[in-house]
Amino acid sequence: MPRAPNTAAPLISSKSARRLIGLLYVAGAVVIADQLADLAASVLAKNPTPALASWRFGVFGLLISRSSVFLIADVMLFTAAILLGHRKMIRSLGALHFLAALLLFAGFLGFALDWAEVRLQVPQAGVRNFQYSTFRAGLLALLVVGISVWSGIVAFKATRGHGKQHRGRSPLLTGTQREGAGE
Amino acid sequence: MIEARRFTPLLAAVGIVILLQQGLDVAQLLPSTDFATPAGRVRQLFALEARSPGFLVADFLLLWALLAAGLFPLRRAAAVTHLLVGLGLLALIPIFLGDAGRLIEGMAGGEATAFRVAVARTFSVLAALGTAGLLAGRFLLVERPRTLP
Repeated sequence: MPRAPNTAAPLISSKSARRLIGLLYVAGAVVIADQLADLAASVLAKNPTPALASWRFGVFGLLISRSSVFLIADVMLFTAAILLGHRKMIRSLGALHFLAALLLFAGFLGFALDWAEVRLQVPQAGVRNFQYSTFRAGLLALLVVGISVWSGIVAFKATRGHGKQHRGRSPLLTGTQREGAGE
Repeated sequence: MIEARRFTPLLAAVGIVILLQQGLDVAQLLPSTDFATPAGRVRQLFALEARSPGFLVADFLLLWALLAAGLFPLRRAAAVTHLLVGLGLLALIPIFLGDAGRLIEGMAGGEATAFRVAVARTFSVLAALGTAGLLAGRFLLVERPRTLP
């Protein structure tokens, strides 16, 4: 079976537009690096104690509180790869998403185990707030895991076909009108 | 060719997750907010303003997904939502300015300056997003259905 090429027919052919879209890669990477650096600074500011359940619990909560920014950076990277027709990049992003989902799910399991220990240390006055924050972080973590797995699957499925299939039919990015839609 | 259309539902999912996170963050402040006092109302609006970029990005992604997927029956619902949210934000402006005016009477020096800057920022966001909401609602109602780039 012949292998799919690393690049597909690009959706944007103008050279200057492609250069501009290429900056989305840089922007997405900078956003992710900035968030990771900021997270590292917050975590390392105080003496890191990974042996403590409360420390691990707090770090996971901090990571999840930044999920929106990571998702926005993710959209930037995928948009650039799709518009530029970088099939190999989309597949790499897909593989990274599977890895991220795996790590995040492992983190979620650890978070759930730590919760059982940390909740005993929470003063009565803060129990409600603690429970809400835990629910919020847990829910968001599961949703991000789901989106990561889904992104990985879509990244591989969308790049599975060969060059001649579906050519010229991509209303998401080319603005061509769907047949019969809304008529 | 890359099947870009397969990514459209993902755009919507990312938009929903971002919207959910911002909503949960704002909701966390609700139990401790006293809406009967000007300070409580102003504090809640400051919190809402601080999260406005997240709300804006989520809205953009959801609209992009909606138009790219060609879900035209949902356009009217999106239009009405945008019109209502836009009107709501604009209606909050006089209440917010009245409350902020009452609060600033008790402030002086640097504290008053910082508060004025925060009020100006929140007022700008309410006015800009309210107007943008109305324009987006009008666009979604009036514009001929076609898929978006």
